[in-house]
Amino acid sequence: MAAGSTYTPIATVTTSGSSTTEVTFSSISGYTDLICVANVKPTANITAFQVRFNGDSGGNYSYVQYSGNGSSTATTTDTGQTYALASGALLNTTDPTVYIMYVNDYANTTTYKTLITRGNRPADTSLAAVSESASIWLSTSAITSYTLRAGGEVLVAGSTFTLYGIAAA
Amino acid sequence: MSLILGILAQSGGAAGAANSYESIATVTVGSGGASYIEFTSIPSTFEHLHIRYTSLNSTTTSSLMQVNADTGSNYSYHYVGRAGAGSVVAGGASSQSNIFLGNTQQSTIPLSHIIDILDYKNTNKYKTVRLLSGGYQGAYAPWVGLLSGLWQNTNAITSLKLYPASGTLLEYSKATLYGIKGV
Repeated sequence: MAAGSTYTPIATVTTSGSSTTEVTFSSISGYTDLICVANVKPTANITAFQVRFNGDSGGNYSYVQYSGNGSSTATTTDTGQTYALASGALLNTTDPTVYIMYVNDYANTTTYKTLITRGNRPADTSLAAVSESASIWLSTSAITSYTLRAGGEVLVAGSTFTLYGIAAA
Repeated sequence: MSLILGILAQSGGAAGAANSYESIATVTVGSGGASYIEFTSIPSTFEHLHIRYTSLNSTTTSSLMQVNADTGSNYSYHYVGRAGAGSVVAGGASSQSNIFLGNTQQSTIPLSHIIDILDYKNTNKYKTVRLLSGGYQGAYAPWVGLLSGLWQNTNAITSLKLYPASGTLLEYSKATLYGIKGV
């Protein structure tokens, strides 16, 4: 009954040098859903860790997010943004933030695309945080490229990004 | 500087690292909509189940799940998340007739669900569901949440039903069931 193995690692990027501000996976095809796992740290504090699809930097994204830091909670929502949200504040701490990001049915050309994410920044300080977000990209185009960016700030060398593809039966 | 990495399609891409994650079945709702999506005769050859579900709904309602066609008050759930305007919310209920999977709006914007059902064929304990769901379905009612569900039954899971509390699933709603093997 099962159609066969899936959940395939498509590509992994590890940043190097001191000038990388974003990572793009391009020419994506052949799967049903996408999962991206990232372990990142910027070189400066930023207000949002961002995702763009197909290079679209127009105001075609909206999102909702909530987070907790062990003592309090916070939530944000916004429309007409130039990026989908992987999480809010991403800090230049000694501790990286890890993300898992999901896009279901990324290649369909009839519905808008929803990105849902979980982010965890474990830290032995008040900077620890856990967050979850949902974003919409107001386009019915198939997703063929997937860009992750630290709001224009440089990513610390050794930040890792892996994209997986899942093929449905 | 940007790093741009070209990717090959599946047939020519990197070899899959694992053979433990298998696609079992997919249901896509056709024109005219449907009341529910159901997976039946789920094989017992896996250790865990995983569902990736995208719903488009005809009305503002709750997204729900039932197991083995059990309509009794044998379910519990709880959640933390953000629903609509305002602050972070948390809640839950016991003795329910289904598991709550999230809030959904009358919308052509999809609500995505990532669902795990652990140890689904074990006949010695109740079954636990964990999931993440979210969708920005209008500025008045976005939803994102982390949820848990409990089915108070020791039977192996052989069927799963996904459905809205009211209205119908619209065309292009889609769910895929995956099996994850153990060693």
